[in-house]
Amino acid sequence: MTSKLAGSGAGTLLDAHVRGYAEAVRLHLADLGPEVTEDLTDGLEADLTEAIADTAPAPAGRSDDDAVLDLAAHFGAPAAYAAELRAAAGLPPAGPPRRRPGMRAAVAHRWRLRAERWAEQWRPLTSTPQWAAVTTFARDLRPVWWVARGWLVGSWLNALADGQALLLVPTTVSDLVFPLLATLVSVQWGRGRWLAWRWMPRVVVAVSLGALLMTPSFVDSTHRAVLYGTTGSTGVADSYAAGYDDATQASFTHESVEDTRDQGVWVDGMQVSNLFAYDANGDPLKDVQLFDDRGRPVRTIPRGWETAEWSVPDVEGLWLFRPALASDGRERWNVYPLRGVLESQMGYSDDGTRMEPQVGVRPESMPWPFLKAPTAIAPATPPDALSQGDQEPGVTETRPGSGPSAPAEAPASGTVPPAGGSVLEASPVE
Amino acid sequence: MDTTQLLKGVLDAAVLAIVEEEDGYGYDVVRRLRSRGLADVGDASVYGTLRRLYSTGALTSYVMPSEEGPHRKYYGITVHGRQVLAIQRKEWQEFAGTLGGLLGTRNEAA
Repeated sequence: MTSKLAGSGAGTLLDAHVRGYAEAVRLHLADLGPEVTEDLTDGLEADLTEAIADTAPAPAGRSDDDAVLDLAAHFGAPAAYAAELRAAAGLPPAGPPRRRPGMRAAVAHRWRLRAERWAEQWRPLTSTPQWAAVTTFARDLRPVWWVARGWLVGSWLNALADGQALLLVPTTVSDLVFPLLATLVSVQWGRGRWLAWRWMPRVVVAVSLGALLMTPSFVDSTHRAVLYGTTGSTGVADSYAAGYDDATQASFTHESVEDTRDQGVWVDGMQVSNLFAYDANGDPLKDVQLFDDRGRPVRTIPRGWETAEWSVPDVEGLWLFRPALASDGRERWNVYPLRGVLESQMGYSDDGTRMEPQVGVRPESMPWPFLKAPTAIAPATPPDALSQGDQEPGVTETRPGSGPSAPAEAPASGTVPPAGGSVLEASPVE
Repeated sequence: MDTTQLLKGVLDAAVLAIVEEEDGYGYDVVRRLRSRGLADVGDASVYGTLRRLYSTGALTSYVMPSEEGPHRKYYGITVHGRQVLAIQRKEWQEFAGTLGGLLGTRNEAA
């Protein structure tokens, strides 16, 4: 029989079909393990081939393709063949297809055992009425969790959609869409609705776990975003910093200057650093106090610029001007000419808050533009008054008088009494 | 009556008897069973039975090189197999006698 089949020339094709059928049978036995399967189907191809040759001898010679190749017609479906083999061998029938039976069940069983043991351990606590009260309370709070879960997932979808940071607080109206939708779904799930498919409860568990895991990073990034802002928005901290800056700026400008153009003394668009006074005869005066017509001290060094460095005509180096000291110790910046200290001889005070001349350095007099003023003033007063003014021009001249300078002089002498010693004496330069 | 159902209970004995006569490989046993009148016997059932009898020690097996095809796994009966066959033979004869008497009586009554 076999020799006849081999001679028919259908051998190769038949072999292929036999192999395919045998493989299909083995597939249905796969759950038994390779060893048993091999043991059961060892020589199956040979048996099949021989059986084919036996059962369809006559047509095999003529139209072997049609008659021979439909193995299922001879032996039945591979699944049925495998089942028969299995039953006859006394082996258990196959479980649910393509799944290792027992594996999942065993894991589930072990898990259940462990859970029961765990529950047993906590029985003393969990059997108390207080515990029951806690669990009831927690159960009543479940809707809160449903909302939170939906909001978390919705916010997460937001972050996914626009690539922004995880934010629990929507910054735009469109940011509300996902959280609201997700909250709706989450609440419906919590109420046991919208769980059409059998696998849905598992999805709910997975989503809940995901939401729980996301919570810390969500809270953190939201916290940070509220403080420092996200791209395109300003956070509370930024606003605070801006406000702080504004406030300090305001208080700073109140105390000092932003633009020196509004401050100090200017002559023809050029800031004045120092003033030199000459009397009517053109002789220089030292330690002249200057006030404007409103009684304000005239300061060439504006407030806040006391440590500014100046270059002085015909003198090397950068200078810091120093105020005169009133008899009560207060600094007076309207006493001219200002004395100066070289920048290199300045240092910080012991407490580090102010700049002051280094120990042993005395402010130097600045060079006068003229040793004597190029002009002398013709006296507007009678000749006898002129002779009087020879000795004491300016201050002493106007003090007893009723001239226009009297009101300006009065507060000056009142608030700043002439200092003792050489600091505030209005006297001609030697 | 579906003889395949009847066969299930006695296939072990039938296979043992065939192999006791002469050693044989899988399909050889099928063919001989069929030639002896058990036309409905399924190939897979026989193979499975052979495998089970082998694993219980009633059969032994050995591989025989074949001159025209693949190697063949031959089955032979063991001492244990003969004992099993003897018991089954005895049980069958008793059963067949009982059933024959039972069915024969009914037939006469009808």
